[in-house]
Amino acid sequence: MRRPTAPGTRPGFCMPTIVRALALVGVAGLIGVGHSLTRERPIAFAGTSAPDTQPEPREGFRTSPDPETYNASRVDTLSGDDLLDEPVLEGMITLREARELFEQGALFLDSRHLENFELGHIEGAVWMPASEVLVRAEELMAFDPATPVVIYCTGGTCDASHNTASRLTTYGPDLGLDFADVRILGLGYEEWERAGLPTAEGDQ
Amino acid sequence: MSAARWGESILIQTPVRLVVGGLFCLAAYMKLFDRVWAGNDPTLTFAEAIKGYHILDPVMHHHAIVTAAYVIPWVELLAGLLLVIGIWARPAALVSLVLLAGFTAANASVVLRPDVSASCACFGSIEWPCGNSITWCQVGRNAVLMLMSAYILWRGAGLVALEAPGSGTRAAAGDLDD
Repeated sequence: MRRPTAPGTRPGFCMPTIVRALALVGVAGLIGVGHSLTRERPIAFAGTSAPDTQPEPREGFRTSPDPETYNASRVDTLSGDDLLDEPVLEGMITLREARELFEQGALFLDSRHLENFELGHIEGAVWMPASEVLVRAEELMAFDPATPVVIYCTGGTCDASHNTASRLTTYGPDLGLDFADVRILGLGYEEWERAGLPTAEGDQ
Repeated sequence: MSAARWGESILIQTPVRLVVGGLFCLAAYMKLFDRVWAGNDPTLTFAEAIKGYHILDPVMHHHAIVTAAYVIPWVELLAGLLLVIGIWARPAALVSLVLLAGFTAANASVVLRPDVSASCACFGSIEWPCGNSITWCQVGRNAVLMLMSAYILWRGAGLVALEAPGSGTRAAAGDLDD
């Protein structure tokens, strides 16, 4: 820190720079607070908001009895049928359960980046990251609300499928999107592919 | 004012300041208004992106994540605008440097954790030259921008700026002391 300088001499810049930087952040913070006040509905994340905004577990489907048994390193070494019953994190479905729903005609939503979707996706899946849910609500309205929905991304700690599920269950009903059964696949597209399950390429 | 000083100002300081400031304005705009990337709720999408880094627990630190989603774009926008017009360039460069240091550390932490799959959310739908997924590319890009911010912090706005000598709006103290 430099002392105040006399007129005509070179002033130091450390303190004024830091003070002004803090002022800049303070003004931006106030604008951000004002911005937040314009929002009608508070921001809620899947799995962290009130329980009544979360999809109810579907009867008959189990999730991993012990979330700690999910092991990303082990999953990477598995292939074929070995992946079907691999435990997943709590609240998600296993690959076997997803396969059953696939065979029953469930709607699969791919929440990964478009470039990943185009390289390969679950056969019949619709590309639907969270940001697209409300924009393309009409496209989803074409499906029967009773149709089970399975959302997937890259698996493990990937958040994209949770985000899409959150938009569907929290904001969807206001737009007439009222899917009764929304599921999240615990493993990801790569595991689905390694298990030898049906896939497709391209943007459709 | 020497020719060398003018040369540095025109050839280096001004372009560097405009590039960093412009990129910060772009980043802020994309976070606030880019519907291609964020759909009809950019703030929620940015908050989800911050959560996706798995640095803050979404239950314990929900408010911190949401606050960051509201404030970071405006900090970027203000810092970017000040850098572009050349007023308070050093404070704006300091803010951009601190922001970039945080972003770089966050990006590096994702790259170093193979089980975490997160989107950068840096420039919305424009992630050139890097893809949407976080790799060392984003870390390198931020490192270059940090060097540029550090240069502005060191050398100031230059002579082609609103706060430059003779412009009538020179900042009171410290912004042109080199």
